[in-house]
Amino acid sequence: MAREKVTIDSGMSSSGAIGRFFGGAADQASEYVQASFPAVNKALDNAIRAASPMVQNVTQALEPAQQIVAGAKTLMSDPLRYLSQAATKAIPAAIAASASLQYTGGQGSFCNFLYPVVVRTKWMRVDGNRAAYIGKPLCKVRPLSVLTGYCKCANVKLDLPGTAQEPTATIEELQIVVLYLEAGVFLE
Amino acid sequence: MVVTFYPGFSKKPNSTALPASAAQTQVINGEIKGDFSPYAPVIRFRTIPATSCPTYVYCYIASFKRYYFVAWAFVSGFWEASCTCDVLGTYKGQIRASSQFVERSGSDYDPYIIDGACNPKGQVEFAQAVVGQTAIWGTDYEDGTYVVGVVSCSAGNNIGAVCYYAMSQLGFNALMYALLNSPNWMNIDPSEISTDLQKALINPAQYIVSAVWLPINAATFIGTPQDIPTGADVTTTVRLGWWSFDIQVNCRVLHRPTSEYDSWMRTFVCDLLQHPDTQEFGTWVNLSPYTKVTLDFPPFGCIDLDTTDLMHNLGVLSCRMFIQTYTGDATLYIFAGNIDTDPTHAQMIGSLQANVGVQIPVGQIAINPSNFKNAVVAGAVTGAAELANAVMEGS
Repeated sequence: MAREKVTIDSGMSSSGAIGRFFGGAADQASEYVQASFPAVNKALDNAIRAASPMVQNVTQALEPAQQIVAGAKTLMSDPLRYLSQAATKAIPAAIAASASLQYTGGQGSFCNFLYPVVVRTKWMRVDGNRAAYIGKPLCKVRPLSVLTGYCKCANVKLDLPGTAQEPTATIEELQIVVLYLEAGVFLE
Repeated sequence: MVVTFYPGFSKKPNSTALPASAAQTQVINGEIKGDFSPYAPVIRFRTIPATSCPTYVYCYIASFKRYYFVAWAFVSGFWEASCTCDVLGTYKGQIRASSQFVERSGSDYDPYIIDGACNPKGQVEFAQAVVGQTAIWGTDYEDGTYVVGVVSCSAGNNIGAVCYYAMSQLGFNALMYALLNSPNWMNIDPSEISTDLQKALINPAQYIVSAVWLPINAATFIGTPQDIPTGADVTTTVRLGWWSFDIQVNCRVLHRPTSEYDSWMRTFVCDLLQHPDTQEFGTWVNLSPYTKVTLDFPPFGCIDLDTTDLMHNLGVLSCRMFIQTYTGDATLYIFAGNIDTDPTHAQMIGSLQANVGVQIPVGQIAINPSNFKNAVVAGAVTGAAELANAVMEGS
């Protein structure tokens, strides 16, 4: 019985030797099987031909069964060739997947290093200095004798008992002095 | 009553100023009008001509030991001075002798206290400073270093199964040339396996399990032509699998993870620029939102620095970087202050991790069991499908 020559795709160069190895052995085995079981081949072939009109009319769900039947027939007719073909396809596919180039970029980059490392600063300018008029924050206890210019105090605790040069302050005067100090005075 | 006037003297009502002791004075006798208090007496002067309006605004009444502000009025044919006590001038000595909690002062201030009385303006300025006195990274990739991991039998120099070599671009080229120029180094008799089949069957690059380019000048590892370091770690021999190659170019064997070559460390210092209003307003203007500081450090990225951290040691920023040269994995530590010269006061304000290396593509076997399994299954299915197809065609 005439058989169509099945070409084995050798795939990658590294697997080509394997493919050729299996392919060569399969060719020899195929001839042996075809010569040894002509009756079986013919019977199966006739069965498929007789059943084909019905198979063509069944639903698509039955097509796998048809393929199984056909595959079984073919496998029986040329088992070593097709088994070797399946192996030939599986092995180089696995090798091809694992022999890929490993490239794991995306971390460092050549272009990153063309630029210097810099500290960039952005400043928001502040309005003109009014320290002569309203001073600057001090927030500390200080003897007023060491300060000059504007001075604004908080929680003033003051006692004006009088001296040889200065009288004893009245309560009204004391309160006024406290109000002045807390509102801001110029020590001159 | 004797009243001492100070011609030409005036002062702010909230000032402690007093006339100088040598100031010009005018003493005039007057009489107190009606009921009075020492705080606000009214003095009538009969000796001042009606047609001559007095211009004195400040006086001192010794009887009361007080200084007064004066307001004049002409009443019933006489000039009258309505006096109001200048308490700040009168009690100046006792006020100055006291200690108070001073919120604001014109002569002393704390530069770190944010002054809410100042108004930020819409005027923005930019500046930048380069970190490090010399370039951190080279400008040409050929100046960089390749760290190549090779599976070999280099006993004593391996990290696990791998021996790492740091080499220049020239060294890497020489290595690849030695590997791929000819398969003769495998010493396989061509009568057993042809040369072409040797090339097809044996991929020498499979022994190179990692190759990382680092932006570190290769001279760091192998010196310069004028200054080649000595020692067992500097060699021209690369061991690969069962073989050794003399590539005629120096490279350094990296086999001590804690050494300065394996864990490359450098510190870079940068002077931080001060806000242009610092001198006038205080250090606080170097805080957000008046100042924003960004460290642009590839490949770690652009890092916005917390300005309050920088206040700890204002003026200097240190960056200390550790690079694991086998992999390029790097950690960057950022310090406020100079970690080199003043480590006691330098404060770490952040750390970042990145990979500064560039993975160099090398043909090699990547062992991924999942991929391998999937490939086998896919290949088998493909084979089975083609088998079924061939069966159908055959039928």
